Amino acid sequence: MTSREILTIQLGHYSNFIGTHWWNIQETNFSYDSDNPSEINHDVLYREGENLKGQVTYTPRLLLVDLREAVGYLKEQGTLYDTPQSEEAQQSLWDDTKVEVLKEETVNKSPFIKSLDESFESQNPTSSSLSLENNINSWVDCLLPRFHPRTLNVIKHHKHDGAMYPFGIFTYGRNLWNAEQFSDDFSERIRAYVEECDLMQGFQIILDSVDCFAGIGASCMQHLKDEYGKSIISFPCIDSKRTEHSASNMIKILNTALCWQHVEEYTSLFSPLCCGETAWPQIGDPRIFNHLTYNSELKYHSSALLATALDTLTIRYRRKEYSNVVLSDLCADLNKLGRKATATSLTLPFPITAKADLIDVLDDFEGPLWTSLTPNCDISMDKNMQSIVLRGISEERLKRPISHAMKQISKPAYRCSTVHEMMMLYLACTCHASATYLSNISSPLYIKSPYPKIFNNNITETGDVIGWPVGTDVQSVPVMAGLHSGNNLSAMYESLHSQLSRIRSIKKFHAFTDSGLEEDEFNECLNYLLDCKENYEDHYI
Amino acid sequence: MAAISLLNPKAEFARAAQALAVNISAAKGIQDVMRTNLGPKGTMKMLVSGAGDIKITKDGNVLLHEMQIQHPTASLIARASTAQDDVTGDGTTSTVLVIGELLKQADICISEGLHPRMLTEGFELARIKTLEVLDSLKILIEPTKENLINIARTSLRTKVHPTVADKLTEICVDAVLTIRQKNQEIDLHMIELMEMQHRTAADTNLIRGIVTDHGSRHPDMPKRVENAYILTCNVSLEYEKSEVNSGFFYKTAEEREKLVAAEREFIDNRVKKIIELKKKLCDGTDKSFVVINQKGIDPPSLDMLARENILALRRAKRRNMERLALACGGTAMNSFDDLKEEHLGWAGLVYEHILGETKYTFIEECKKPNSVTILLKGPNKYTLEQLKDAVRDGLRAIKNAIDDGAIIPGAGAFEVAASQALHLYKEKVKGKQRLGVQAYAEALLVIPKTLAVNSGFDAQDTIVKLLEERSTLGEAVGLDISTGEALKPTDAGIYDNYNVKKQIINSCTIIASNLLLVDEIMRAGLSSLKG
Repeated sequence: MTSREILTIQLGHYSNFIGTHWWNIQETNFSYDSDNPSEINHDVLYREGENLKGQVTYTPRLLLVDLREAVGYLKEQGTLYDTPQSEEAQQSLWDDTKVEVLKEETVNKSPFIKSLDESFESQNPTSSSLSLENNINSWVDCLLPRFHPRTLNVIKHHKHDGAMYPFGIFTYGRNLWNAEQFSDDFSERIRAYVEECDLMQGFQIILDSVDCFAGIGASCMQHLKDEYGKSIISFPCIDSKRTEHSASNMIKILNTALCWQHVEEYTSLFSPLCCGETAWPQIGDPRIFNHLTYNSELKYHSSALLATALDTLTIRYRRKEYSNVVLSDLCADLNKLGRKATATSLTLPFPITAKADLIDVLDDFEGPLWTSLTPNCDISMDKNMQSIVLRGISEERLKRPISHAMKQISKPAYRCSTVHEMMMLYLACTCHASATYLSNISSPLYIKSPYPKIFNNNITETGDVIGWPVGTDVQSVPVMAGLHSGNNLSAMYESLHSQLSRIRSIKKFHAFTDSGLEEDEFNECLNYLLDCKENYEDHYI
Repeated sequence: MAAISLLNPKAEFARAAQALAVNISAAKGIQDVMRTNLGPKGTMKMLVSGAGDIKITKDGNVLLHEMQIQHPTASLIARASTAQDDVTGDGTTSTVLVIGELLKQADICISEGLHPRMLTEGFELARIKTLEVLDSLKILIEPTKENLINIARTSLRTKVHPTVADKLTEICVDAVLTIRQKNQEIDLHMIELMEMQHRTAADTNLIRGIVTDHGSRHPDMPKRVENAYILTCNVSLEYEKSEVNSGFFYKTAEEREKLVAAEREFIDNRVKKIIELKKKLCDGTDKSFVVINQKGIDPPSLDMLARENILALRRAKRRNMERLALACGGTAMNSFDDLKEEHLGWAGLVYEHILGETKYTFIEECKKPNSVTILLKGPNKYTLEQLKDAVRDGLRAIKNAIDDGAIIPGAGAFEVAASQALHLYKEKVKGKQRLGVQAYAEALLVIPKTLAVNSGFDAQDTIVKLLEERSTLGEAVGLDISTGEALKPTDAGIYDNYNVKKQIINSCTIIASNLLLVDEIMRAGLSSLKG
């Protein structure tokens, strides 16, 4: 069986937070039990390789970009492919006496990473009781996987808050891509990954949409589309940390709008992500999940939620059982009629009460089934094209056998014999005028540190909801996530357009005009937002 | 109070003397960082990042790129010198040194009350005179191997250890001469630099052909073929389900599979065309067939090709397509209709080399290679990087020499000659501009002075010796870095590029003049853009 590979690209600091959680989740969910293999085909996102010592490596098929100070202790080459240094090999390219050493301060590893290294050396995992919330400044501080030498790309010429060249401008990113050296290196790395793949599905891109990485992303997608012509799914994301109202908010909105315009042009499907209800003009209140308590100010928390949604909804094209269901199918299902934007939803945990069966849970369900993770956009139950993934409901929990059925037998859903069938029936009944593609796998999402402890105390170890507090940590949960394309997205475009049209003249934003943004391009962007808004309006007679 | 503070009370500013002091101290600062790297005896800098990544270099350009320079003036100078590198590929360190020195000399004059404008006018006069001197020192050359080796060696010895430098010199010159075509500009892109983390730097060699960093992806394909036809193409041999067909619209899975099969046949036909041609040309002879595709080739297509004993490479570098056509002949095909023998290239030997998880494919023994590969070898990443930087500069130096058709004596000879000529010229200049010319003359000497200091000699002693020799002999005199005495660069085979020096003189004068004429530095309005 050949697996259909996907290359993941992460651009920007917040995106790397999301990515880090995602890869962590995947590694936690690896199954090393040969009797009970994973339902997910990990070869889709991972690659197998061999280092110069002849050891086999299994690393994410990933390219990421960040600024230098964000990558901290990470070596550019990674540690998996180190070569043993013999003294002879240190052949004299220079005189030893003539070397001046300029050493930057060594970056300290966070306590969590240290404990990882220690348990790796002593071969017995230590259960860490570290409070991660206070120790995480950058995504590298909670990173489980080790990377291939190709993975890490560092931008050296900008600093996060550098006064000289602030990094918050879309066009700066575009110019950086056009500066030969960066794009040459980067596209060469893309090519090397693609060359290894037998039959690629396409690309997944997570990018920060409010700063310069949006510009890099836009240029990168253009390159991918020109060069490879594969499906591209992208997730422009916005950190939900609230900021003071200032001129920089306007810049973020402008960046976001430009980002979307280009993303829409070059990708097959995209879904904006943010843990706040609104992302403009300011970051709004955090999205509320009934059984979770999280701090939306912390990147570490909010990115974990987004990562969970991504991990779950991408299962559709990562399953072992249906290996011919691929990314391009997902895109084809949802991107009709110029509706390339979709809303992402997450149900964490899927609220199945302890000892109850799915049939009862669905029957007693009230309120919305899912929570939107797309800013300025709520997802209605009706009139959607949607792709939904449910994981963690095993077939045993579907319904009781007929001998013990009791009341269940009177429900129409009792005739359904699989989780898939029952969910489809439920969705068909509750979602008016919608087309749904449902994938489900029975293994739940296993949760282990460094995943944040965000579950309320009425969630049991196995992720069931009960009516009283329990003292145990959650080990696994059922999750549902989906992509929805429906008329609610027009509201998202409309709000962005009304914010953006507050800019009367682009000339005030000289950092943009200096780096090549023209008035026409800005107006085009405004019109684009309006066009998209119209694409999402349903005109039923 | 500066006017700006009335408009924007938050603005920071520095005026007149203060502004100048800021600029001069920045120029001095960056000069101090770079000065120890000049010349073959300059020190290496080893940059260790916070994560422990190592970079070793003495190339000014690389250093400026690696160091995060925050001071605005310093970064202006840094940009000027990296621009120098973009244009000529060398002379970055010199640019920084000369700008710094010009400002230092100017500082002395200005503190005595001279107006910066006078100085810059003097600089301008001096610049024109210096260019005249440069032209008079020009040695016209034919692009022969001996001449080019001298210039390449001078450049490379300032970057890496002499033993390695001499080896690289040979390689670089051979490479450039091989790809050089009559009446055409040299395109250095046609020399591929391929890195191989393997053995030592001394094993670096020149391949008269192409080396790619990928190999066949099918276990049954041949690992080594001789007398090979090379087909380069940009045609997808990979079946791709299109996004047009949404899954919602299919009644059954079979219906869908049927469509897939039909589309698959389309790709198969392309592969069959290749096989057909191969059969026609190679069957019954000892010839073999190699396909190099810029697009993908999927496993079923690879299978079909492998059965016919065809070696196929997928996802070739875009630039390699052009190089392949130059190295092996033939043309890159965008479609397989009308595929004929004349579209194919030819190579005597194609073989695969595996190192860890990376496969390299060597395409060698081409009939008339107009594109070559320099295979860089080194035990670790930073050695490779350093080699690559050095080779790149060596190649640029050779290209410059061929383009100019001329070289000039190295080892500081030009600066000594120019300085002396300016001292004579100064007498003819009327007015205060004369002081500018004098300052310029002094500033140019920073190059031989630094060379002397870096080699462990006394700067003053050396300069006096050189100037004396220059006036008595009347010809180009440079510094012998092993003895500290004067030598004739032409005897020692030390040459510099004409256009590098020309560029240094022009850009340094302009940058230094601009910085001198700054009388107010303001910083305002940026705060609102932060974030």
